[in-house]
Amino acid sequence: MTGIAIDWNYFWSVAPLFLRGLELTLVLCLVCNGISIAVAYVLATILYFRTPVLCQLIRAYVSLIRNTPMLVQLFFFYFGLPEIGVAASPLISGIIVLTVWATAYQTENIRGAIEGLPPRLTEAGRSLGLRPGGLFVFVIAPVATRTVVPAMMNTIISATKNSALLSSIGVMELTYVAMDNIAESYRSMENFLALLICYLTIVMGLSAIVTLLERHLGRGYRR
Amino acid sequence: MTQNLDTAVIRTIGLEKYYGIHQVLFGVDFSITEGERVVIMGSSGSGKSTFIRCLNGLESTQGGHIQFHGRDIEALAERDWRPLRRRIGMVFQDFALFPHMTVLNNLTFAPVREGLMKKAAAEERALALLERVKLRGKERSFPSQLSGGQQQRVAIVRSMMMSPEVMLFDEPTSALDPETVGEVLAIIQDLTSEGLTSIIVTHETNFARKCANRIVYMDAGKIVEEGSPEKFFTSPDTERARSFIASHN
Ligand SMILES: Nc1ncnc2c1ncn2[C@@H]1O[C@H](COP(=O)(O)OP(=O)(O)OP(=O)(O)O)[C@@H](O)[C@H]1O
Ligand SMILES: [Mg+2]
Repeated sequence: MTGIAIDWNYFWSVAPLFLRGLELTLVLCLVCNGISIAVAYVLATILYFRTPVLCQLIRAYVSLIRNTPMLVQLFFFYFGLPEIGVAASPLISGIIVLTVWATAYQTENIRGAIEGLPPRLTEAGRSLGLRPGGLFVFVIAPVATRTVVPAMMNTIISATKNSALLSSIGVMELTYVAMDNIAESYRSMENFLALLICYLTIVMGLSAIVTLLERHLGRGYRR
Repeated sequence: MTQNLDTAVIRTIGLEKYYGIHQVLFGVDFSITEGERVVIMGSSGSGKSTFIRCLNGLESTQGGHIQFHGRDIEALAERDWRPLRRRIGMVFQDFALFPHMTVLNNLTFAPVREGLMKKAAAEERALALLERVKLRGKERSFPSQLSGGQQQRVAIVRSMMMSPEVMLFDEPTSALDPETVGEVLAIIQDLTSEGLTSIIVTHETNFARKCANRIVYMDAGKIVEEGSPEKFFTSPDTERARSFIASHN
């Protein structure tokens, strides 16, 4: 290999491997983000109702996750916990850690959106005699959801990018495929180029979906 | 207070309110009888909003009593306020419609959700009320697609949906463009003309003159003067009321 020449034959020859990695990355992205958003709504609801004890536990969990690197959380779970008898396969460990990580951020996003709503919205509901449950489910949560979409999107993208870290415990997603190819062929340029293209495609695809979603949610609703 | 002798719908006795250590209501004695229309006036910060927010439990109070049909309600828990709030409607300065719901859903949501009406009946009533406030045809619009005056009329109808016995209005026209103030005041006048007990905080002196059965003037967290509109606007007893009226004409 000379200079910056790219061996396109090699590049296309590894494409099938990358497609398999891409598939796993997409599945990870879908599963972890899906679960984390669902759980985050539950946790944000508990925070909203200031449920004693649970509320403090959730706050502690959120700050623990947000204030430590995900790589360290991953190593703690995968290499640390087996010492006390909690062990799981790389894939399951990866899914759990990424989901737990994303849930903390999504909880914080939703909590922030709820706290940012005008207090008047709650007062209007209270003054109509609405019970807190109905008020939360049908007014507070949906209105907050409209404002939380951009922040939620950022977390989804971060989680997708962070899924690359799972290669370090042997989850055979995109980054693992690239590293594996390089170890075998010593062709860094082609592999990293393919890797960048894959991540860029995923993230741009996600952004497009969210733009559509925002437009849909924004129907008749401007502020 | 015995229930039978007291004709007041709402009465407050020595009502005191603190925000933290900052006292804003200093013993407010007030009452309103059925069908009465009372306008509360007073300069900014005199405690008008705070006072009417106490009347439907949006604010807690720290002294005195609030009575609804003779029954003390100031110490009720939130859950016990809830059924009362359906009988005491409130309209806010900034409309506070549910932004993600159409006009029709804004109107039917609470009564249907709280089991007061079936959906079909609620929609029928909503449409009739929209007709009355000249908003028929807007039922599928979202609040953001309406003018301020239209939104406020929807907000008024939303409270009326619960068939309240008393309506509280907190500066219902203060956030509106001058052109739309009139249409909202006309609606309030129309809806309350059939003897709906109402307490209206407003700076609109013409409206107060025309529509109030009684003016209550608040200053620094107290009622300092009250009386008929003629009396209040032509020969107020207190110097403070006199200068207030002078500055609002
Ligand atoms: N949530 C609050 N926390 C602390 N202080 C408050 C709060 N709401 C009102 N106050 C204070 O209480 C006093 C009375 O306020 P309030 O809003 O009741 O007056 P107002 O007569 O309605 O005035 P305006 O005409 O400007 O609406 C003011 O000094 C205000 O600063
Ligand atoms: Mg006020």
